[in-house]
Amino acid sequence: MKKLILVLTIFLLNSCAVQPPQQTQETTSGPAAELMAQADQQAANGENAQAIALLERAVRIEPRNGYAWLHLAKLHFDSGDLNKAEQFALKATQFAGGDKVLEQECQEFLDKVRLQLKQRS
Amino acid sequence: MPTKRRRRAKSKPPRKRLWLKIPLLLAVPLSFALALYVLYLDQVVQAKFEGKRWSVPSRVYARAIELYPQKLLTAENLLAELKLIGYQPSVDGRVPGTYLHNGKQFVITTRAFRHWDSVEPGRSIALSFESSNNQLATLADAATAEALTLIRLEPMLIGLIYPAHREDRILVRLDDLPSELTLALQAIEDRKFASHHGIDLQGIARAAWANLRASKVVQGGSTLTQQLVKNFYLGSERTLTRKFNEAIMSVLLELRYDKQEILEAYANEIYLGQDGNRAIHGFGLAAQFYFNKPSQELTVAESALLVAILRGPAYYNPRRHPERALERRNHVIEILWRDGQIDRQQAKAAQAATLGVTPKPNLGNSRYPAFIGLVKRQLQKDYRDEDLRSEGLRIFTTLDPIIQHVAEDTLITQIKRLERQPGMLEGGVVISRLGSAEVSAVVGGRHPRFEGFNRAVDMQRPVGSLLKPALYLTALSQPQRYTLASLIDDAPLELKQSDGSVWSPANYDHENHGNVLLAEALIHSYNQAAVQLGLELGLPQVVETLHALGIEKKIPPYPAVMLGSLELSPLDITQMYQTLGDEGFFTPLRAVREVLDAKHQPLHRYSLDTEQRFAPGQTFLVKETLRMALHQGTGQSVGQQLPTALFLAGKTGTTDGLRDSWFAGFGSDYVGVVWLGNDDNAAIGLTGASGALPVWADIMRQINVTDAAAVQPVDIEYVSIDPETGLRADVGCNQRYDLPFITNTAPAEYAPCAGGAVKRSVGSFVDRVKGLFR
Repeated sequence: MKKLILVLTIFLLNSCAVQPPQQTQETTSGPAAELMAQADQQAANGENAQAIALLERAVRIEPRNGYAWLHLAKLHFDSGDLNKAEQFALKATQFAGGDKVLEQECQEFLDKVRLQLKQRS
Repeated sequence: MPTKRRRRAKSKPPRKRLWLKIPLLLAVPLSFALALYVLYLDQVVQAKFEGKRWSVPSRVYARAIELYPQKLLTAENLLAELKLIGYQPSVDGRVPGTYLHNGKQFVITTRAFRHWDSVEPGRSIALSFESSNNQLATLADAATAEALTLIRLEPMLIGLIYPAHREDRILVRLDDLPSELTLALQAIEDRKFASHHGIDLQGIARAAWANLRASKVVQGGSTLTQQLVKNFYLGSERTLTRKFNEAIMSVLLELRYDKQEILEAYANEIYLGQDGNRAIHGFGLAAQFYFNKPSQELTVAESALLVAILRGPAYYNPRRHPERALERRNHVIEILWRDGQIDRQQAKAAQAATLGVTPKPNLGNSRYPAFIGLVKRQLQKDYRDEDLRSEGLRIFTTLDPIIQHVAEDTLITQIKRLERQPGMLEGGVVISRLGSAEVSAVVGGRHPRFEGFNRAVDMQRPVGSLLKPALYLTALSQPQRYTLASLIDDAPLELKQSDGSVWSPANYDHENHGNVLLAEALIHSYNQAAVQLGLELGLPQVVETLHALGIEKKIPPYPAVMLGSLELSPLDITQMYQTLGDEGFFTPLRAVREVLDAKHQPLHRYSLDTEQRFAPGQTFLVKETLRMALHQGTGQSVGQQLPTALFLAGKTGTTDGLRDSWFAGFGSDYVGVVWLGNDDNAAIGLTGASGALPVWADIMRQINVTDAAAVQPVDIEYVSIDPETGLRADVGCNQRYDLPFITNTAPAEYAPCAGGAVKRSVGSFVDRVKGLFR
């Protein structure tokens, strides 16, 4: 009986602990989305540093928002910081979970960044 | 001129000539000397007035709280935040810097604030919380009821970095002061200010006459200009020379600069109070210090009070002597009315108003010295100490006051509960945020307001088993060679050291556990298995992993390092666990986000940086094992009572002779590291599990609010494992571990208990069960 309880506890504890990855969907509302929109505006005005600051706020508020991380990666790419662009895209990939759209977008972006990195070296 | 006179003098009789010659001979060099002296004074006047007039301390701010619907926050914590930023309760919450709180509902009127990325406008907002869960439910503009997506409150001022003389001021322009204030100032201190040329001879005569009649000093004849010159350029000694200099410099100042500039300098220079050893100067800071508001918002009564107390800030201290202050304030209001600057009704209302002084802000000595210590350390790389102390910088940090208070209160309470002798036990805590690696809280000891030894940042102690996850991460980074189901021999071993002595590490329970799963070895923190694994991997590889995780200190490649003989600070350990908790992304810890200059212009930003140093799958395996360690292994005494939804995971650390008790780990949102010990390194009789763990768990339970699961990398699968053989298990096996594997690395064969054909010689069954229960 004792053994059975042990087996069950270990089994239950392990099986309930990890949930399948969350679906992160690109949201058009909410604080991160608003900051992303503001950042785009700043970037359009040539204020890339301000835009990056806004995006960092967005990922602070929603640290699991893969789209926000990818957005940050793209801003660094536009500012010419390829290393940061690559690292933040990797971070975005990590939060893609089951979101195939984001995953593919991250991969395409990473390919682009790495190609440029290669050309540069 | 002198030549002319001389010529005329020649025609005079010789006797008279001699008579005249002496003063003339003296007058020439004297007036020349005087002219030179005036020129010199003029230089002095100009140099200071045009250069940097004041050394202004840097102001250090906490993170600004962001409010948005669905934010995980309780009404109590919002109320605590409002109090910390000095907002006052009011009847409707519609005046800037006030709020109305009614159960789960709030109306708050914020002030405009310049942040690095943008200006947050001031506005009235209405918020409500849900009663069931701890979430902000609605956020709207209080005037229009329009829903708002995101707003930021002002950040809390958490400390100042002072110049040596400890004068504090917030520089203001004349436009920032209400007209009643400057009018009252002139009416009380210098009626002729607008017309005189620096000195007011009539005023001096009047004062002299009044003082003579009273046979003591009852009136001052100094103009505002003279007062400014005295404070700005001269000392306080009462000598004729000083009076002489004061008069000349006042005239010079008036010749050089216009009235507005002089008045503005006066408004920033004047001494208006004392806060411990911090001197309060200027109306800008006085408005903050006495009323917790910017000078623009001062009412007539408040303006009058500031003018009232400047004659004697100690004597008229409104917090200590409210009746004296009130009487003199009303006298000032009376004069404003008599002069026709305010009407009768305004005067009546102002005189009827209470003093309105807020409780004294506790800033003379920083509230969070341990955190400020970390801030200075980060800034020292980019700023000279002198600039930090004098340039009036605005430093925006990552401190979360709510988390800081949770960490402080918990540490103090738990230390008192755990210590064997009162006052002996000390501790240190660091909390950082996953993702951004921003340091949210630092507690440097059991007296967090006392600026003493910072145990969280400056203390180095042996870390016990806290480094073991690096060892296992090194192994699991070779997925074809090691998995969590690999068997490792937890047998006694003897190692010959370079000095010829023999080192034989033992397990904490002094038992040998035979062949154990890699996962079990970490879950139960077996020392022999750890050293065995380290030797298999090679110490340089393990050291490399430690550096990649963020340990910067030079690590000697001795086997004892694997068991934690290395001395590190809680901050160092936080960096290491941050990388583990962040799925292998190394993000340098930061305590400062941005620096603005004195004019609120962006100066420097410490931008977020990250680098993937381990594949997410590899760190995930370690994280999962640490989660099991907390719930089933070394941490189970406390871990079993923790809600599993918070995804807490971590590792105990205990040093020889029970001198240090450590716990390091992470939840869904934060990394936390706790150290307990004695300053004199004496034994405390606590293990990591019996000392630091309950402190850690108590803090983490309160601050990790997200119930989002750890992100599971796509290349992870779970397989049931038989701990005896390390092979696949099924319902037929007595024990099973559901372990994570990188895809295609889990064992393919089934254990005998699961119908597999393979039989292996392994340690006795009894040993194994015993091990599980330990």
